[in-house]
Amino acid sequence: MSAPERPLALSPDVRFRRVAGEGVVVDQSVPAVLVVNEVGVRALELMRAGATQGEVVARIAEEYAVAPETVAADVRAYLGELRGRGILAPETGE
Amino acid sequence: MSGWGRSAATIRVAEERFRLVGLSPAQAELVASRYRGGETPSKPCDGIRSPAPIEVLVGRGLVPVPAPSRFQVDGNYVPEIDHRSGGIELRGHGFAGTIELQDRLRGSLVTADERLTVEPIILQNYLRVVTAYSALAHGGLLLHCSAAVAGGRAMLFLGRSGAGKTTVARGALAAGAEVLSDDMALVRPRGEGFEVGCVPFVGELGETCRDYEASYPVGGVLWLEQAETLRLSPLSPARQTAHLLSCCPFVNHDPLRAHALQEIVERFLERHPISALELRRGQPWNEVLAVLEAAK
Repeated sequence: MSAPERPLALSPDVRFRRVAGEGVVVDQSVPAVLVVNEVGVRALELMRAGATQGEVVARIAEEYAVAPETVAADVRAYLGELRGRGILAPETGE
Repeated sequence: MSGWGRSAATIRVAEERFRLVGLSPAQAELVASRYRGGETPSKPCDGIRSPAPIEVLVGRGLVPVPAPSRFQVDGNYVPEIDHRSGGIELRGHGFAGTIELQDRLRGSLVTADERLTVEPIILQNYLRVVTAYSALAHGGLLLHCSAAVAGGRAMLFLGRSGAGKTTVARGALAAGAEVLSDDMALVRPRGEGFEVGCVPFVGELGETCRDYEASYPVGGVLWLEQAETLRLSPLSPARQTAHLLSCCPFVNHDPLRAHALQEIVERFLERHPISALELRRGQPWNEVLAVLEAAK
């Protein structure tokens, strides 16, 4: 039996907000600022609300009417990029 | 904290004045010879009485002097800052300081070397941070940018390191335009928009500002990108926000003032949207002006 998924944790130094359909993400520890698209900022909102990776995939797939397997690959890549930038805490065990 | 002496000196930064107290006579003399001061601005601010100067107590003390590389971030010198609700504490190469941000903004600067205290590596790097917070407190921004005057208005050039901010300023200077700075400019709210003033923090081009009391309405804000063809294009609101935030040194680190900064950024962008300006290195100033003029 696999372990239950943990909620995705944003770095405490990260703030983001919606601006006209896109997202502006600020990592105040650097500081670094980046722009993400509408789906990217929606995923961040779900993470802020305590969603797991599976929950992010499910909600995005539902809200944007896209096949979950397609969303899963995109979310995995997106989370990898966020981890690489220090925006998302590393996965447990990393 | 004991001061270096009982002398004082005043430095003017746009409409703000910094009153340095606790200086030795030699330090006060050096400050007076290098910076413009004065007890009252000769140009009143829309009938509003000039605010009291920001007092900075300069003292001597044991300060660790780590290698300057410790304070380098992406090629820029950035002091280490601890944020508190009532103010900040900072440490840089050869200094430690505080900035109190409660009712009245004031600060302290502790150094271990009398002469080095008033050199740019300490004094300017400390005052940059104070200026950034003072601007924020007044609804303005200290921007990392170059700025030149065209048609009585200030054109602000923002961009990543190496994008061409200094090159544009150099071109403007060569063409006889007034260059306010190739490194930093102060924008303050004025009426319905914002105005730009000089700060005495010099960049690669040295001191280019002709009049530290002058201020110019914002005429345009450009995000520089290197390209072969000169071109002006719009940016999405999110990109404008991100670019402007990235050019607000010191305060964009501060988690306790993020909301205040965001509000000012939004107000600024409502009045002065940022466009992308693609240009090649060494693009003549008159060609830059022509493309900006054509877009009006």
